[in-house]
This record gives sequence, C-alpha cells and structure tokens, in this order.
Amino acid sequence: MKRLRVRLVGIAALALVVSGVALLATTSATARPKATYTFTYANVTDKSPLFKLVGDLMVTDGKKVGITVKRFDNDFSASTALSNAQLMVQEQPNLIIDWTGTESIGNSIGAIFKRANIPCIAVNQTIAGCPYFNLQNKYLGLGAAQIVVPIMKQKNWTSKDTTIVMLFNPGAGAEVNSNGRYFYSYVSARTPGMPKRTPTSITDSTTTIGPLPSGVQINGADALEPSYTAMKNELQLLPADRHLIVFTQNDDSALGAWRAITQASRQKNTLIIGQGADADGLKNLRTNPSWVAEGSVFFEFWPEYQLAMGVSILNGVKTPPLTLAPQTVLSKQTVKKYYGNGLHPIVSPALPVQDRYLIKSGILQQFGNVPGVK
Amino acid sequence: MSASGRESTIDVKDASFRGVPLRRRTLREVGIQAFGVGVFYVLVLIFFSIEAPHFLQYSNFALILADVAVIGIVSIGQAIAIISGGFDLSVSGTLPLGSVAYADLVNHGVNYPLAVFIVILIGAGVGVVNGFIVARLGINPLITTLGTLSIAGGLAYTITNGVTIPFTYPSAGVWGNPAFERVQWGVVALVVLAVAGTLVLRYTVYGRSLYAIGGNKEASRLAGMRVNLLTASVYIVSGGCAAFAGVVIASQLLAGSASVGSDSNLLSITAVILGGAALTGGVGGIPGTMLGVLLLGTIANGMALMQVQTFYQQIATGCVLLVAVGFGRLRSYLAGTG
Repeated sequence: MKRLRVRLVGIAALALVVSGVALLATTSATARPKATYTFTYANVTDKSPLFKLVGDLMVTDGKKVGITVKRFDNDFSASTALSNAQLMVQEQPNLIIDWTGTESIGNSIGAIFKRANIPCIAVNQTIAGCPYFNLQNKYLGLGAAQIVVPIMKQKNWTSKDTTIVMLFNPGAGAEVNSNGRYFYSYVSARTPGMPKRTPTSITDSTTTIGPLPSGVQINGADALEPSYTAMKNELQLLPADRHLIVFTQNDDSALGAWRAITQASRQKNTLIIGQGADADGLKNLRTNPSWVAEGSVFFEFWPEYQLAMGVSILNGVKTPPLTLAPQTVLSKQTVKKYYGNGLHPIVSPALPVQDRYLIKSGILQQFGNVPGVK
Repeated sequence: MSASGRESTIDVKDASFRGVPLRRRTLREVGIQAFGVGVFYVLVLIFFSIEAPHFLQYSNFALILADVAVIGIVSIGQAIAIISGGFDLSVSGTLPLGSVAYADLVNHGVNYPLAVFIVILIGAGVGVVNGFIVARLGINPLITTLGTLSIAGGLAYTITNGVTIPFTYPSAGVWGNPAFERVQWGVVALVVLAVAGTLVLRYTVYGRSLYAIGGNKEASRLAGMRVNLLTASVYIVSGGCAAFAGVVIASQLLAGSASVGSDSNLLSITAVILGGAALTGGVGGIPGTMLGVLLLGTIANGMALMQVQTFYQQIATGCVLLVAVGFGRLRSYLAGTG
C-alpha cells in the first residue's frame, strides 16, 4: 500500500513536471513569431557589400516576421542563376524570390518554376510567369531633373552655355540607361533653345545632341576608371567656359567623372548627379556644392517589400504588373529626412498607389519605416 | 655571360642563328617590327590630326600620355616576362591590389614613399608566388598567373569589401599631379622605367640572359644559366610594375578601387606584341612596347574625340590593331626577315 502511494506521488510529480515544461514551451512558442512560410531567395551577387547586405537582410527580416528564408547567390552569372533555380525548386519552398541579374534568361527560369508549380517573384529582371518587383530608372532621371532645373534657372544657365553630359553603360540595356535620357528630355523641355528629344529617341548610338552640343552621351561603363577617362576626353571637346551638367548612373562613375572635372579645374561650372547613395555619394551630396542630387533606391528596404509581396501572393492577392521598389532622388534638402546624418536610410518613401496592396500582408507594419503604414 | 659549367660554357653575345648573331638578329627583327608599327602610328597620328577636333593640341598629347602611363608601366613588366618566354595574366589582379593597398596605407597615415615601397613589395610578393610555381614546379604560366590573378583580384575586393576607397589626403595622389607643363609624374615614372628597362635588356648580362632563356630554355640551362632564378625574377619584376601601376592609377583617381585595370593583362600583352615581341619568347623590346602602348592610347583617344559610337569603337580598335600587326609583319617580310 505504501509502495502504491509512493508510486502515485511519483506519477503526480512527473505529470507536474511534464505539464510545466509543456506550458513553458507553449508560452515561448507564442512569444516568438511562428515560422509559417519557407521562401528561397537567390541574391544577384554576394560579392558586392551592398547586394550582400540585401541578401543578409532578407534572412534576418524574414526571421523577424516568421518566414524562413534559404538563400542562394546568382553571382551575376546566367549559368549560376539557372542552376540555382533548379536548387531552389528542390527545396520545395512556399515561394521563390529570384534576382537573376542577367537579361534574357527569364523564359527558361520561368519554365522551371512553372513545372514545379511554385509561385515566384522576379526581381529587377523579368521572369516569365513571376510577378515583377523593380525600380524604375526613368523616375531617377526625372527626379534629378526636377532638382536641377530650378538650380539652372537660379544660376542663369541657358541652352547657349550649357551641355548635359550623360555617362552611360552601353552593355547594360535600355532600361538602365533610360535614366539619363529621361533626365535630358525633361531638362531640355524646360530650357528654351535646347534641342528637344524624347527619351526613346536617345539610344546607345547617340553621341551628341545639337550643334553646340547641348547633350553628349559618353561611355563610362558605370565604373570609376572608364568614367574618369571618358570624362577627361570629353572635356577636351567642351570649351572651358561652358557649364556642365553631368548625369551618372552610379557613384563610382560619378567619382571618376568628378575627378576628371576637378583635374581640369572646372568644378565651379559643373553640376553633378550621382546614383546609389553610397558613402561617397552621400558625403558629396552633403558637402560638395556642385553635387546637387543623388538617386537612392533604398536597397536596405527591398527585403521587407519583397517579403510583403510574397505573403500577398500566397494570400491570393492579384499583384500589379510591376511592384515598385522604394526609390527617390535626394537633394541637399531631403537627404537628412531619409538618411539622418548616417549612411543607411531611416525611412522609406511613401508607398506608391500600385504598391498599397502590400499593406494588407501585415509585413510592412512590423518594420515601422514606411510612412503611412500602420 | 659566362656560364659556370666548364664544358657547356656559352657566351650569349656569340650565340648565333643562321649565321646572324642572336642579339643582333633579335634587335633587327624587333627594330623592323617596331619601325613597321611606327610608320603605322604616324599614319594614325596624321589621320586623327585631320579628323578629330582638338587632337593636334599639346594638352591632348599630355592627356594621351597620362592615359597610357598606367598600362605602359604594366607593359614594361609584361614585356620582360614575354621576352623570357612566359607571360603574366596576374597583372590584372596585382594592379587593383596595388591600387587599394596604396589607398588603404596612405589613409592610415603611412607616408607616401613608404606606402609605394610596401605596395611594390606586395606586387613582388605576387611575382614570387608566380615565379616559384612556374620555375620550380614547372606549371604553365597561363594556369599559374590565371590562379594568382584570381587570388590577387579577390584580395583587392576583400580589402575594400567591394567599395571604392577615396584618399583621405588628396596630396597622396602625387603620381597624378603635373610634373611640368601638364605632364604627370606618372608619365615621368613611365619614361624612367622604360629607359631603365631598355638599358637592362640591352646592355646587361641579366637582360641578355632573358632573351636567351626566352629563345631556348633548355639550351640556356645546358649553357649553365640559372634558368629557374631568371624565370622567377621576371615575374617579380612584372608584379612590382603592376603594383606600382596600381599606385599611379590610384593617384590619378584619388581613390583605390578593386575594379580598376581589369583589362590590363590583355592590353599589355597586345602592346608588347605590337612592339615586335613574339609569344614564343626571345624577341621583343621596351621601345617597341612603348610604341604599342602609345598606339593603343592614341586610337582610344582619337576615336573618343571623333565621338565614334562605342560599339563601333570596339570594332575599329580591333581592325586597327590587326592592320598594325600586319604592317609590322609586312615590313619584316619586305626586309627579308619575315
């Protein structure tokens, strides 16, 4: 009898311990966000610190909202992207996000995802059958032009004494190179006497616009050294007293061009626009009087937008043809609003109308950096 | 050069081929090729003087010289490597490594001459690795220097994390500053190195030995030359030149970047071949190489001034280079040495 009582007490104690542990487990499970989905994400490349940051944030942001993200590296290579597409399908995720970084392979990759019947998101380059997430380069050109035109007027720069120099990368495709062309188009439309051009009428073959010339397009290959060399050569052709408005497609290109301009002592007659808002670009925008605008596409916020887009797709929301990445052109007046005094953005631009469907996913609210999303 | 072996002693000066002393024959061939390319270069100059606005100006020639300074310095090392029968693809990794190392050093307060010295040592270090693998392990220079290209280029990206490093102190860009009348110190360095390289190759035992091992490595070995040591030395020189070229480009840009000089290996090999060298080794020279470098730089400059469309520039450059090589060979043929 005594032995039975001891056994009962023992069983009761064990039950108490088990139920306690179970209670603790339940409590901690509700405290942490529950992992509801698994996404696979192929980053464009992990070799660039900026792009690597996007890949890293995709994983950490995913964890924050309860999505497990398994990442791959496309390494800017078509063959690697193709191979990664197969590997991602093997993982059988709920959704695939693919930033291939290579043009013209979207059909083959789209076919792989379609065969596996896995929903997908195409980032920056289109993939057949996948909703598309990207920036729009034309807005970077137009945004910069809206900053530059008033400055030109304030300085009394006219079509007779001003040349717009567009540094472009002929291998990068029409979309990437369109920003400078929209820039020229907008500025020329608002500058009496400057030859008007539509953005599409300026192509990779265009070298000069107008006899003075009012516009020139030179190959900076979106890199430091080629931009420096190309700008040095071009300065030979443009009279020293001519005002220059230099539009570049990234900050390395802007730095190379700027070095050529300072070597030629022409900085006082120049306005320059960078893109990318990297450390050098932000520093110049804040301190260099000639550096008047800086395009920013807020790469740091891309993961949360894409996660929200993924959850929306899984919730059955019909996405627009293009979900716009956050982007704006910073001026000396607005840089503090978006970047404070630092090098990373603190707040995203407001959601454009077509992106407002992302709000319902409930993801953006967890980051608290998109204005108007509560 | 007298070899140490008693029975196989050969004097390079006495080495002959088809009755023509080797050195004299080599110099004649190079001279003829360089003369052919030289004539072609004059034609190019005349063409651009007529067609390209602002081409025939002093400031533009100073610009061309500044443009070719970097690739010229790389080409001096490359010429020595090719003359000795090898070649060095790793310059495209060593150059950016030198560029970012210099930027990093001067930004950390290292004084400029010491920073340059350290960077040259880094380049020489890459050369030591190349030299050891090629000379001692007998691995093909193509594979070896391709490997070290990847390592050195990767190191440059690792140091910078892929980001351009601007100079904290713009005064560190001394090689990009004008020495006199718009001619940069980098150009002066190129001229000094070119003259030194020419003198070494032509008038020293070391230089003549390089021609000998480039012409016939086995014969040179049998003649008692220290072929392995000589082979290793050319990669050290080439690595040092490439790293120093990195300093010059960083000075010009006032920034170090892992992306600079990515095509410097092919451009330098092209310049050396245009200057009369053969990929099989044993032939070539620094003056011809400098002519090749100038030709490449002048074509790029002239077409930019003519505002030729980018895609056509590539095609035109390729065509002009083929014609230039053909010109040199034709000249050799007419002179009876082709």
